[in-house]
Amino acid sequence: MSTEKSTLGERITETDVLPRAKYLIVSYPAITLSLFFVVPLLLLVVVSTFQNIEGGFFQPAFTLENYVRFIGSDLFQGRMIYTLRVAGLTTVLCLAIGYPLAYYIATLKSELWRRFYLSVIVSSLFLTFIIRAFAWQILLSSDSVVPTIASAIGLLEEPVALVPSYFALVVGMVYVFLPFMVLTLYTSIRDVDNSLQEASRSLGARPLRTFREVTLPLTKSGIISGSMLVFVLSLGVYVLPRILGNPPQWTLAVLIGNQVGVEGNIPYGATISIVLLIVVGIILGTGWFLTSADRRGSL
Amino acid sequence: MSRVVLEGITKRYPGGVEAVSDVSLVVDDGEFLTLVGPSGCGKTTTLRTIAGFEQPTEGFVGINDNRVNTVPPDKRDIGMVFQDFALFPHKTVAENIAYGLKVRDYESDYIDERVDEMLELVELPETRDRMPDQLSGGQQQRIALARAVAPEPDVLLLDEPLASLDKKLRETMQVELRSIQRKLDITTILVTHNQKEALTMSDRIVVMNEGHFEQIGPPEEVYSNPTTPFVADFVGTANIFTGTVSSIDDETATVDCGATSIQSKDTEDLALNDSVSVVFRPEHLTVTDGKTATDGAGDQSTVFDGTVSVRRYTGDQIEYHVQTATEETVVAVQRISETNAEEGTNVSLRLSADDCLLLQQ
Repeated sequence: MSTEKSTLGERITETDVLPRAKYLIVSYPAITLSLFFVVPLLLLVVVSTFQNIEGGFFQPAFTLENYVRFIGSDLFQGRMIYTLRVAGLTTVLCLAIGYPLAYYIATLKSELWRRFYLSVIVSSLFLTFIIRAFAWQILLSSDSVVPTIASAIGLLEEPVALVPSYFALVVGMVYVFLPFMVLTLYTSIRDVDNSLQEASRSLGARPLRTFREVTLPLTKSGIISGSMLVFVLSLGVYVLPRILGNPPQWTLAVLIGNQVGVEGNIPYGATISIVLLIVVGIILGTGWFLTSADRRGSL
Repeated sequence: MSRVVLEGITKRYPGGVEAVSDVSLVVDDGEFLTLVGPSGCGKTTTLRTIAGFEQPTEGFVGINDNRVNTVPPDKRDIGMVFQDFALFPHKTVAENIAYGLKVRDYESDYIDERVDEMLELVELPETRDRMPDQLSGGQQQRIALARAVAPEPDVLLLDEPLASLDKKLRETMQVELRSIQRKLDITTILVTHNQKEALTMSDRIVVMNEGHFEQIGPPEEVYSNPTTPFVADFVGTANIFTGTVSSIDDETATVDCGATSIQSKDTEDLALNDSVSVVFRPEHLTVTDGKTATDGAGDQSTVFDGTVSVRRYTGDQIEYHVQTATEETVVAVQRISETNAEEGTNVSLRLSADDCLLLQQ
């Protein structure tokens, strides 16, 4: 490194720019993280302790009034549990529908077909939630496809509108979040070495037993992360309940939107957000604990 | 009694690629048979056909005199060891070994007993409660073997089981695998690309090339009497010349290979002007320095004069690559105590007509 090169570019690179650029590059994650995630979150926490003034304003204060009001209210007990329930049901249905689908695609021999099916699944994400929600609104309305077929095969007495309803909301949510589940599971199932399944077969285990004893346990972390992903996304759902549900089907996210947009009570909206975040945090933490315990176990 | 029978097995993949073409084989009870060949020769496909992971396009697969062509692997009563061992990473060593027994619904007392017995067999009782990733490569290999033989299968199938081990360990495992196989007296089919492994371990070798069997026989026979130039070249090292028979009598044939004439006593079924491959092993050549060149060359041997282009010292012997005047390379191997020629010096290689095989083309 002691060669005497003294072109201008080299001198600038080695003595001036490099040391500083290094710090910039190293601090990039810290800066983006704090700028876009930590600071907004702190602002949210701060605002949640502010006092609301009629007419969409608020003033700095330090009060836990909003928290006391929310946790003691029917909103918390009713809507929070309702939101968790919808998210839970969506997750379970996505898993039940998604696992066989992901398994089928992951075990296809032709790479072309695997890519094709994955592209089809990903392509449904190209459209925004709103458009897909409206699509389901139309599909489920009276005289439309789903009620007509349902009455034709005897599931409904006559073609009535299935929207807005709890049913419509769940259908819409499963449809919207299924790709996330399938993609997560797909990766996890692809990761299972085929020779493990063959080893199981060679030892006398039938396909179903092989699945139960080998494939399923080895895709456990995929099941947990896919479920956590869908669950957390479902908790924050805002557009779907508004389009496919009535007020009884509105989730916390809709109520937060209403507090801010309709009631003009920004601190209270912030409070509900924080509580929702804490609940999500607890769930994520549990999931993380479960998967890492799993990893410890298999060491 | 024959344990495994293949009759006219052909495996054609969609798109017309023929991985295996019309191969037939009978494996005897308790026999250790090895399928050896270069990668892509169809040996693994053949093994997977016996295991049931592949269905043959044509032909008959029999295990214990039953036709098993369409029987799935789990109903074939086989044990298999895979190249990457394929131990279940989420199960302990004991659970891995017990797997095949549990699937067969044995009593748990018997399973425990059998697991211990298997761990004793592979000399790893202390690993009972460990997870597979806490084992070394050699230990994983042994546990995979223990798992495969625990349910006492009819046939043990080994798919390149030693390929991922280092050389030293591989040689130890060759000996151990063979002695365990003898102890259990279990019919075993091994697939390997390593001809040395095939030679040292097997009762019989099947040399495969491009989907067909080149030669089947005991290791000694395959090595010293290869029936095709491919086998001669693949199993061990061989010098191969091609030429036509220019003269022949009761005892000796002379083959004209361009600039060189080679004498051979392998005259069976040979006629004048036949096209043949001349095959001889490096260890059958005697290396002498250039001066004594033609002295000993009677009519019963062939002498190659040339220059040492490469000299490889391998510890117990020296390998010479000798370039002849006609630009052909002949490989000779000498024990260390014999002639020692430097690179660039002239040497003579003498080949006795007894050691020279002629293969019809």
